Amino acid sequence: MKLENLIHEKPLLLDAFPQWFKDLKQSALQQAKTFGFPHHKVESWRFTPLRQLRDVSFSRINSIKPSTSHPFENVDWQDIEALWKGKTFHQGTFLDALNIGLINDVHVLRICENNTADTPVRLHFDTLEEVFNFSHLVIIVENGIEAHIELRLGNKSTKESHFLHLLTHVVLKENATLNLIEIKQAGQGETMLQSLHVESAKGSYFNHYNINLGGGFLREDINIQLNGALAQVDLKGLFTPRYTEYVDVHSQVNHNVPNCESHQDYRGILNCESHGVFNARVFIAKDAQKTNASQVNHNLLLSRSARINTNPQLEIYADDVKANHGSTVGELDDEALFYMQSRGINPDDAKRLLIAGFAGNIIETLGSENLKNELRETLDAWFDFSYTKLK
Amino acid sequence: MSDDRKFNDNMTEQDYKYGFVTDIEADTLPPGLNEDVIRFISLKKKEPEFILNYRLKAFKNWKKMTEPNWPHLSYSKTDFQAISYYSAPKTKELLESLDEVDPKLLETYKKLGIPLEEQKMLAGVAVDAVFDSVSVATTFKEELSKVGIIFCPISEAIRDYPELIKKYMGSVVPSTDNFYAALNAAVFTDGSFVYIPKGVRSPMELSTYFRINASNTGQFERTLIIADEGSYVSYLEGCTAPMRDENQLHAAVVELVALKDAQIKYSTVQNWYPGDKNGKGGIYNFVTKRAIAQGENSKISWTQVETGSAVTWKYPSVILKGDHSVGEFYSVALTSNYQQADTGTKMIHIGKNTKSTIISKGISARHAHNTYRGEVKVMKDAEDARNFSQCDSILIGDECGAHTFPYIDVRNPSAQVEHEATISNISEDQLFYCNQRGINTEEAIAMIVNGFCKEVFKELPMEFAVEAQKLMAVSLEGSVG
Amino acid sequence: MLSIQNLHASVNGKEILKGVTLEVKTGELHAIMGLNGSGKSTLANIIAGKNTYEITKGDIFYKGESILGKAPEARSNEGIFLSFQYPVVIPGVNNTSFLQAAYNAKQRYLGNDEIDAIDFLDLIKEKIKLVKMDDKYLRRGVNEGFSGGEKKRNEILQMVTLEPEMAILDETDSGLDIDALRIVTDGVNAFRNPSRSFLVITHYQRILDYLNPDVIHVMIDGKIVKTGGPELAHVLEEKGYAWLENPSESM
Repeated sequence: MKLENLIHEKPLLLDAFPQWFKDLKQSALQQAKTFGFPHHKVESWRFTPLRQLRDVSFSRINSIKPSTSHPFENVDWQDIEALWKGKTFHQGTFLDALNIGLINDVHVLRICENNTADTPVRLHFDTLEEVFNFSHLVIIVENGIEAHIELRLGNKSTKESHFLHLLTHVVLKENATLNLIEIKQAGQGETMLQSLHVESAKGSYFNHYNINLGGGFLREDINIQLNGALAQVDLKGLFTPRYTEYVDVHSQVNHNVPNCESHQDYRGILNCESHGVFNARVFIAKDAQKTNASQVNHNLLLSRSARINTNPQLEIYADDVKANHGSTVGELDDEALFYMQSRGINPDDAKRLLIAGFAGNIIETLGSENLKNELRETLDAWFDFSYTKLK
Repeated sequence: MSDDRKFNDNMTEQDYKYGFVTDIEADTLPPGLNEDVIRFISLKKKEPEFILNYRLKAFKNWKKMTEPNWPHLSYSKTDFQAISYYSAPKTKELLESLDEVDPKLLETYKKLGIPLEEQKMLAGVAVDAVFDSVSVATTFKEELSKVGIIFCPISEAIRDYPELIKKYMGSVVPSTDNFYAALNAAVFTDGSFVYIPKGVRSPMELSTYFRINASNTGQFERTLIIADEGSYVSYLEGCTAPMRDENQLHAAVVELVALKDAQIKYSTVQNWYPGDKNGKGGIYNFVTKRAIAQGENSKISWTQVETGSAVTWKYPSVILKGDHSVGEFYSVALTSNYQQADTGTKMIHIGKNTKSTIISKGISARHAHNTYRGEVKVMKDAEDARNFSQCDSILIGDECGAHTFPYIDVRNPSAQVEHEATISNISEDQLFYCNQRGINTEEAIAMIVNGFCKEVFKELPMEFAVEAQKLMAVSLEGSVG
Repeated sequence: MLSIQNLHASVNGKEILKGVTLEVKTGELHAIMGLNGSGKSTLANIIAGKNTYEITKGDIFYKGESILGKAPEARSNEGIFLSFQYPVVIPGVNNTSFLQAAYNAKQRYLGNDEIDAIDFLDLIKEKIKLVKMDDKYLRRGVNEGFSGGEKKRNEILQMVTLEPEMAILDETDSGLDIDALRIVTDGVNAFRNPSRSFLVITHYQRILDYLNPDVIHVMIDGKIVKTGGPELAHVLEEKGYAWLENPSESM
């Protein structure tokens, strides 16, 4: 059974589900049928190697629950109904609609107490192999609370084929802060997609790290709605694909109200025959004056066969705003390499240092020392393996 | 600020200065498009068989294509059967000198500030004036032909230089390229042809003034410029159209070919009727412009100042095929009232050590929407390719939009590609500063916008640069004279 | 020349000027001293016609005529010049062309012939000597890439070129080293004559040592709390503004 054929599945309608949810599931599957499987003529799938996605084929569907260090709430369907009322994102794309249609649970994480970068809530999705895994997560950060969440996707030692589609709905209440550190580290056979929908209320801060360290096919669709004044968003990311890996980031940041800020900073290091896509769009609504928005994407191509598409996009309808973006693509700086060599550093170490420095712009801003160390080591190993040995 | 806002509104409401119609009897086909119409055009123009076949093939393809809907534009789609595909001023034979030209026509040019005779003497510009699809006056032909330069209507080139046409027409923009290019290939009426022989530097800037005149007549110009090895040419294209209620379609194709060590500089000032302040009328400008820097060390430079048209869809592009070839795109796009522009460029790096530069300045006022859309592509074997792109926008007022959609696709690790963009407005501080120095708001805005566009204007030939600056001021001012 | 009468002004409902009265006679140089936020720069901007303030009471007369209803450019053309505390950068607009546009706007207003670019260049080359500015700054964008000191010199260059009768210098001394201050004040002094008046706004007495003011006003919290001769600057320098803290006592 191929992914595109899942639309023919019967939605699982448990007795415990309220009628509105059963209706939503049915209409979502119907919507998925209407959309049809993504194709290249749709702007958001223009650069994606769809064949890879189309070829995923398993015989079972699984609604997966992640392991967590913080208990999920018992689902209060009325609460969920209120939260989703008037929202359309559940049926906004083929995959999101499929997700709603096929899950049999919603996992609600409500954060009412502060925690720290060193004691984050830890979530891990270690998926079953040879199964279509779908999961739906709702994260609510209450008024004025500062939360740290570490979300890990995938299992790097697996050799099997995996598929995960995760739909995450983040609700930031007034003056709430969420530091969401997402690490995707998976095997070559893993296909993982996350669709992240964030609603930012007044004065809230969403600080997102999207670290992609491995996986055959990784895609993140980020959708941010800045709905309250003085809300702020930082989207930082790192991707280091190798082999024939594909990694994709599509972000849409909507400034719906005045006086909000959004900043995006993504770094890509691409090796072997890998392919990366950074497609970010900032939308500034007519009345969203005094917006401050930026998008930056820097990329290093380390191999003749690697490819990057970088499309930072601005769509602006308000005149009193600050908005800018920049993208670069290049290889390691020859002069810097030569300079280091002239100081007695061998070329491999020099390259290692330059790459570490490049990625450091993202990694070194993390709050947790342990995590920084872990990522530095991972990157070092990445360098040893994929750069020194493969080159 | 509210007072200033009102002021800005006033100044962008100025009426179109060049709105008048010349009532020359036109030899016009009834509206509609089918094979017979194409055969009629071809016959009327005494074309050889291969051109007719080229047209018919393109028409066949066009029928299978659909109008693109990806641009950031909204407009009522054109009814292609409601357009008349041929219209020419009545001429006996090709005219030899200006004296033979219809005096009314000359009067029209005068109103537009295009005095042919004066230009002959003062600017040394050879003018191939296209009036409703057929060229009626060509000057300086003799002087150009002394050095072997061919500068003539493309219909004439089809008859006189079929080998060059066969080799190059459609080689850069194939008739299957896109909806409008296919339509153009099927029904093109006339346009300019330029051939610069090996090693020749054109002794003057070549220029064509386009003018759309007859009611409801689509314009399908086709221009082909070939710069042979080691040659150089600077070509100027400028245009302005009379006021008209119905939307007029313009779907031109421009192809440039630069061989080894050759250089083509193509500059455009586009000032077609943009519609009135309520968004009524105005030209639809769907142009396909593409160049190939085919030979080693060749160079293509596009410079455009776009202030007219209701809807603009235009991406002058460069295929950087030759090693060490260079592509440049300098653009100013000013939109006001209900104008919409979706414009930019494509730089396709194929050869080694190729270099491209993109400088784009967008200005939106009142209810206008201005989109930069560009692509930089570095192919697998394009070693050491370089690109720098800078795309800035200014918004004047809070009802307009400015959008920047760059696409960067790199497949070679030795590439260096940089893209930057900023969006800003004209600050109240800047306006107050100018006011305090005695400069009124209207003048201040024109000055600030011209300053914003400076990097592009300095790429224009001198006469054009002056004209362009005036055009910016006129397009933004309300109370001219 | 300039007469301000019981001027009240607010921004976003907050009152900044709370009844300023001031009289500058032809040929006089007045100084307004005061701390940050006392309303000095607001006053300067209002005289020049900035429209972000709401005048709630009072009036400003220039050459005997109320100017409150006039556009900033009209006030400028009639001879009011403001040297900005923070001169504005206008990217890409050539500094010389800008000044020529301003100069010609004034000539048009006065009914004189406009000057062409070549003659203007000659004129500006003379004027620039007064402020000892490198002529490379003439070729740059207005204040683009200028240091703080260069911007202030450029303001004075504009002043001596436009030849106003009422010049307001808003903290022209801030950010200047001693040499630059010397150059700027020399420029101002060379420009003084019996038909021109000046209003110099500053924190410090330093600039006044070079300018020999006729009258000094002290402004606190939107009001002029004390007016005196040149000696007042030295008293302030010694005692600070604290001794004037309670305005009613000092009046």
